[in-house]
Amino acid sequence: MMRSLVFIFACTGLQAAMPTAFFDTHCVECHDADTRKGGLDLTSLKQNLGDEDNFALWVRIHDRIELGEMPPKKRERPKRDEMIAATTQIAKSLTDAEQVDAESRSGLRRLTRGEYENTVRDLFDLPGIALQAGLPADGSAHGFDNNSDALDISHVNMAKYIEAADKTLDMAIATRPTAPPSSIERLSLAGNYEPDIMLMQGDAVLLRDKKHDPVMPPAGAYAHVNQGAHESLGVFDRMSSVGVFRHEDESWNAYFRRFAALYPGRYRVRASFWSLQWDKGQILPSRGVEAARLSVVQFNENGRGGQHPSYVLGYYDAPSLKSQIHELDVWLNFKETFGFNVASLAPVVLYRVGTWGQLDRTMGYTGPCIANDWVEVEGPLYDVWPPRAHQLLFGDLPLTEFKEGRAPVRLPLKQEITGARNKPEATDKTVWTVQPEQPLIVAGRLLASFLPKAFRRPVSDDIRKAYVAKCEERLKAGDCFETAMRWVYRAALCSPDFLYHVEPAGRLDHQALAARLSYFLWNSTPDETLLAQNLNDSKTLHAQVERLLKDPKSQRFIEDFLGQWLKLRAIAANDPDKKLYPEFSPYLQDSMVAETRAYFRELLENDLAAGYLVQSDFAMLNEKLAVHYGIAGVSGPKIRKVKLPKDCPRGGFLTQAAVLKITANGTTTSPVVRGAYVMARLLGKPPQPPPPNVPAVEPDVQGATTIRELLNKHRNNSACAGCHAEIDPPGFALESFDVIGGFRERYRSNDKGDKAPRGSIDPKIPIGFKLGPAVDASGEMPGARKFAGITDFKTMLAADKHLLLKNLAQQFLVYATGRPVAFSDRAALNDILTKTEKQGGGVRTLIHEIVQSPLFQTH
Amino acid sequence: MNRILLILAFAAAALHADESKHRIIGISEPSRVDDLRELVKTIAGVELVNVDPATTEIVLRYELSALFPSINPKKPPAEEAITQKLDSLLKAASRGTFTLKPPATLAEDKMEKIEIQAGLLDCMACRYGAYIAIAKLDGVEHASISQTNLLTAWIDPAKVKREDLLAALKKGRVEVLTP
Repeated sequence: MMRSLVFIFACTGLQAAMPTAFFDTHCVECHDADTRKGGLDLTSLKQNLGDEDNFALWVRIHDRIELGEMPPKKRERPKRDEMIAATTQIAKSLTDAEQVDAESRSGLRRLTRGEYENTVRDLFDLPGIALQAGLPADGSAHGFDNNSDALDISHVNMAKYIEAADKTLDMAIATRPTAPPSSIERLSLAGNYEPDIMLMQGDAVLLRDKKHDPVMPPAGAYAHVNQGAHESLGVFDRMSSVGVFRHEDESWNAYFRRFAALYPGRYRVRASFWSLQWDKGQILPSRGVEAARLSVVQFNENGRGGQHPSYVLGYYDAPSLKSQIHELDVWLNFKETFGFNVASLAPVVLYRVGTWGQLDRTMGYTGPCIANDWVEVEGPLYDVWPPRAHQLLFGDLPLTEFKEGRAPVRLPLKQEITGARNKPEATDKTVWTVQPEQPLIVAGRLLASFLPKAFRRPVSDDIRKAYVAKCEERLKAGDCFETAMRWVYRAALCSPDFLYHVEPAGRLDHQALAARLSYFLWNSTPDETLLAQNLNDSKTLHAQVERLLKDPKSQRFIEDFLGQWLKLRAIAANDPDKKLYPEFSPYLQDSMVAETRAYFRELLENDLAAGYLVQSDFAMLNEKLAVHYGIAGVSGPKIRKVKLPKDCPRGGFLTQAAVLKITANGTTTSPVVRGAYVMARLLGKPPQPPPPNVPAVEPDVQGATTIRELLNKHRNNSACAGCHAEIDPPGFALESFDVIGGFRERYRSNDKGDKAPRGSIDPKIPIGFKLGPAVDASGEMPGARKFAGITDFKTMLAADKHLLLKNLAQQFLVYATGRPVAFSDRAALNDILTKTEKQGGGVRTLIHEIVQSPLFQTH
Repeated sequence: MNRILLILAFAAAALHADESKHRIIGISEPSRVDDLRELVKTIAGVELVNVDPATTEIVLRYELSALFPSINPKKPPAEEAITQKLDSLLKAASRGTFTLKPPATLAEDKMEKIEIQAGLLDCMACRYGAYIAIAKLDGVEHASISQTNLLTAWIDPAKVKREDLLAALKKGRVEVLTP
């Protein structure tokens, strides 16, 4: 039954006129109450554009007509003029509806956890203070966590902000007239509990002058006896090198427990590594440059036990037989030390004699080994005292001995980590603090300097006086000046002016623009240079964007943006099945992430065009990834630009192992999941959620049926077919890659199949999987565009540079402005794209054009 | 007058430099005697006069004023307190690898000699580990271990038996070849 739409479309206000004649002629036959093709009934469709879901539905109708997808190709095509008229009419209604509600489109948003931490780090010059983990997780909307829709605030947030402010002030306020003494501690891996166990058992060996240390020969048929006796006799105290065979695992980590930082601050760290090939007691040149990993470990409680939180400092060259010293600047917090791992070695455990084919533990083992000579820690290092954080709060007030009244709280510093040998220096109980003679005048002066920096904009006298009044109130209550000001600073750090992006309605003022730019490209507060510029001048703005992108802090943008756009944050969401993917390791995973970040940096540095998002003739690789990708000639853990062989399927984000791992579940791959990812993240066409009550397609890991065969059954359902025709093809193309991003021609199976060849898998890793059915990576994109495999598919995608650029622009805009790209933003977006494409379509150019656009410069 | 002063000086010396005889646990093998000599040199006011590796008996000379800086000359510490002090100084300097115990009260001919061949012990610290497992047992008068990992113990058969030694070695994860 077909009804005329004329009556239904009689609407007012937000219910603007729609192209009823066009619908009657071309659409209603399939989209009426009886047929409801694709679930759409135009005859009963609500016209209330104030309703979010309804608005989104009308946008989809507009887009499908505009792109020529509707009416479908097999139906009679409307005339071009007819289509333009129809879409123009819908567009006008949608734009008008948005304009009515324009004022509230971009909500007030607070800082994300990451922005908060970076802001404190930069404001106080405390570049390693760890606050993020103590704050509640942010939500996510439109793919990013900095969207106002996702950033609510609760009493829990407030309680945590108070804790974070206290932690910041504790670290910032100097409590002594001179800096803590800097020392140099050279640490041996030997003498620490866990490495000593390995030395006793034979998973590590004590080395001296590139030979094994005669005081403790390598363990043979038996392990060494009585670890306590070895410790007492000083066997581990000789500053000998330690060669380690065993990779860290769930039950073993190597920590330098004899040191745990007491004073938060900057430290200079040097570490000496080399590698060797061990042959039953003989030390031979190694197979190449091995990778030694250093991490910063945050001890829990008193440090006993294992599995303490940590983050990777880096992977360092351990060349053959010749020690290489690496130097790095590190920020250490209280109770932090270092962890070591033989990252590039296979997970071999020697002490289980016979398990891995070796006899007599170390003396019966042949295989690679990484040696650590020592790790040297120098610090804490201060270039000024009191530190800048203190100066931010108290200017140049001298620290003097506290005489009378209620003293500021001082907790005694002590080494809390069992076994750590560095202790705090002996000090008397003198309390040092700032004590101005005219506290309120000084408070006013200090706040006049602090508040604009903290609030990222000028602060009125009234606001400043309110904070001074708080100080006065505390002084009258008996607090000393430091304590009173601590109340004030804590209040400021928990105030909306600090916690929220305060932006005026309409065009952003100078400070708001500086802040928006800084949070976009640094994920943090603007510096004084940026605030001092006239950003309304487009050349100045361009120069500042360049300055921000060249600054090391722009790495935060890369990490935060990719973490959300490509979901890199989810890289460790699952562990690959150990039987199916035994070659997977944390080193490989970290290399994956490093590749994707380095690749994006490369696009940015060289202003490469959007086609490079999916296709390129180079990749950013280290040895681990190169071996994983089957590319020869790359040595060591450092990521570098590598030209790809002609027939190589790699190049571009799509075929990077990180993306391929994120889009798999650790055991199997699903073309649906990967297809949806490609559509949403790279093509800017997020698919609709699946209809209710449709069971998921469960892959068969036994190796009997391919995922394509299973999906074909699913796609035979007409309710599913329409969407899957779009979603599945990109996923089919990516079927050439397994769950850890390895190229495959056959699926791995843990049951049926043929014996698998070793390929590039380390000879020390046992293989338990089999090879199942062959992979078919062919498919057909909408519009009868067929592809034979991944290379074809990438070429097809790369040809549509405009689509790729448009999607990237949208992603940047959502991330940079904290709100989705609205329908009415499309004209401005097209303007950005046109200008960018005229200059070659590069990613860096795109960022410049976005920053220069009204979409970026208005609230 | 001079003669009186000389007598007083001798009396003071006799008061401040005494000797005591002890047995020591920790001399697992002959090279440990050298370790002991070097180590005692680092303890102020204490001197190693004699050491008998066979019986592990040592003679220490010490200055009371060095051991007890705030000593009241009218109330000299008891012998037991002096031994305790010497023991604690030795333990601290050797990280517990040398400890004192009273001289043997059992005659040598009443002691029983026990030999146990241990399996492969890779280094001196391992041998020390095997040695200390039995040397600290009550009833083991003295013990030693050879470079070939032969453990020898002289025991008071009334207090300890071979099985006790074997059990202690097993607990210390020492492989025994001749039970």
